[in-house]
Amino acid sequence: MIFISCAFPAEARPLIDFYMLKKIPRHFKFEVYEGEDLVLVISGMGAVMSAAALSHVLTLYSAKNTDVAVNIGIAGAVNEIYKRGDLILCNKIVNTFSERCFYPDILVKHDFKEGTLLTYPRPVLGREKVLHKGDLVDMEGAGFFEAASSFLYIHNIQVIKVIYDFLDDLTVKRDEIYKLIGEGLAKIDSFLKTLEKANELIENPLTPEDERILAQIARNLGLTFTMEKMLYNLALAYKIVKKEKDLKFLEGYLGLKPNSKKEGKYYFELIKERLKI
Amino acid sequence: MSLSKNGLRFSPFSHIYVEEEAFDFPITREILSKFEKSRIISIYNYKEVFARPRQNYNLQKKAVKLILAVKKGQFLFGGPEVCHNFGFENFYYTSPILNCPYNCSYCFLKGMYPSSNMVIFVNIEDFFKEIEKLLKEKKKLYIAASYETDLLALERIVPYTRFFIDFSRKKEDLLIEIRTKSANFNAVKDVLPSENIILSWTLSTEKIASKYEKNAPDIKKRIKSIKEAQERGYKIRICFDPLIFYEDFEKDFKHLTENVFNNIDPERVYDIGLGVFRIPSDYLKNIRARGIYDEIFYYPYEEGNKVYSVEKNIKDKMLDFSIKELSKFLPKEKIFYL
Repeated sequence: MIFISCAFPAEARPLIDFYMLKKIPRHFKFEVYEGEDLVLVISGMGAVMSAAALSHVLTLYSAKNTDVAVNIGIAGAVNEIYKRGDLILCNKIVNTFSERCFYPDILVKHDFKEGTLLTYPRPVLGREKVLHKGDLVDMEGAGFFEAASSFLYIHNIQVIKVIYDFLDDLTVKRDEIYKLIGEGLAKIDSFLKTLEKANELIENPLTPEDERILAQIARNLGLTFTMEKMLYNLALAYKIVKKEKDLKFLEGYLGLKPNSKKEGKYYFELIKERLKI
Repeated sequence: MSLSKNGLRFSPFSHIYVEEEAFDFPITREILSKFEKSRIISIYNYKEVFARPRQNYNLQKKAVKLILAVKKGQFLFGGPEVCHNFGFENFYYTSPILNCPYNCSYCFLKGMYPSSNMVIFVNIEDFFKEIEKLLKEKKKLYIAASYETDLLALERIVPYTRFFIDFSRKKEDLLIEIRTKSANFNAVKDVLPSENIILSWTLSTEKIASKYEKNAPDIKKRIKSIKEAQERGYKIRICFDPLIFYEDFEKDFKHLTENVFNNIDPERVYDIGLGVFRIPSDYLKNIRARGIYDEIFYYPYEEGNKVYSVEKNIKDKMLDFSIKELSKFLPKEKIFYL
């Protein structure tokens, strides 16, 4: 799944239209939109809000570490080589408040420019106010990245900014934002799909269905946390080593409902034996 | 740029992370001059990148980045029990580079480091100073300099093998081992051999090399490199480590040893190291917890002294057979095993 975080409705709108996302009515604090294998959240302004909103959706949708999270929004350019509308993939993100730096893991080839993003706690008007070394300025990137780092593989966390201003004017025009982000969407979409594809190379050999069956067996047999972990590891090893074989035979154990702990342990031993390599 | 089987375009060495302090070192400038197209990103401490949480070792291997750093703290470490000391009392190892350009499935580094990015410590002179200090203290010293990397394979990026060779010269009572799987002897062919250096090649049966030693040169090329090094006058060590059990192991190992000693002079081999696949239990746990799914880490192993390995009877059988085969070419005193 891909999780997209935007600070403002104006930044989200082109993405909502492009991916034909539908608003989920049940969320109150943050606006959440859903599409096919894609979730978008509108966080509001600032690093803390961005972190909170992303954590909210990653938890809500039980994100796996192979899911992708991307922060998309407008930014002000410090570096004079940038032009309005340039798409920047951030290779270094500085939280100018805490002075912490974050480094996205850029593994796949892309068509963006790259740069160092400075996340400030307030809007920055005037280049002379930029006191750190960097190429562009926003108010969310560092919060988003730090929060996502607690959930996902680091290569799955990316920040893409569209150059909107040059720190000379804080006026925000919705239709211009729509146009600038909209123009970059084909590139952004291609990048996100590439990232998803890269994750297929490191997918857990146990499918969600395998995991569901294992969890059900553990519940039925009343296994302890340690025993459940052991069952999981045995199933994983079985699938990796005996490549051609699947775990369908485990379905046969779903009907086991022991009447005592002793009986549960007996069945557990039976399954362990069956999973031996 | 590398293209994976599913058509993905990965970007190895697309970024080079450089510690602010490392920019001042000549080696940094030399390395950066070889990667003109890479983006240089300034960092404060290499661990900011190398020790990030939730990196995926195997995926990163497809797009390895370089990190140039200045080593601080401890430079030399006591040789671990899972490694051969080859009969030397004061056995230490040092790591001027962390991680290796190859991607062997069985590599313990996958459980040791959180990242497969390569860290090159650019203050190599400080490593040499520390070695000299310890040599003075211990009088005799045996140092493995390429356990957590492959220095010779990286010689074109950073010429540390030749630095170690030059450093070791005329230092009696110091012996430095440079272990490699590379076929890159040519990179140091012009360097005058040193009595205090052992160039050590790791070899496996063809089946294991092709199945598990991704990116490493094939056995034929490695043997050619050993031959060239031997002819140039270097001390040569051959390591059959790790030995990995499979049905035709004995037949293939016999074939491998015959192949090796048909090409190189056994009498001029300094010694041989043998070791059955083993991995510290902490590393194996890390590997399994980090979403690394290489088959070799999922066989049932026996645990002893916090190290996982194959069952004792299989291990003994493999070692007995290997020693018997190698004894046809070298005296037993030259064969070290674990």
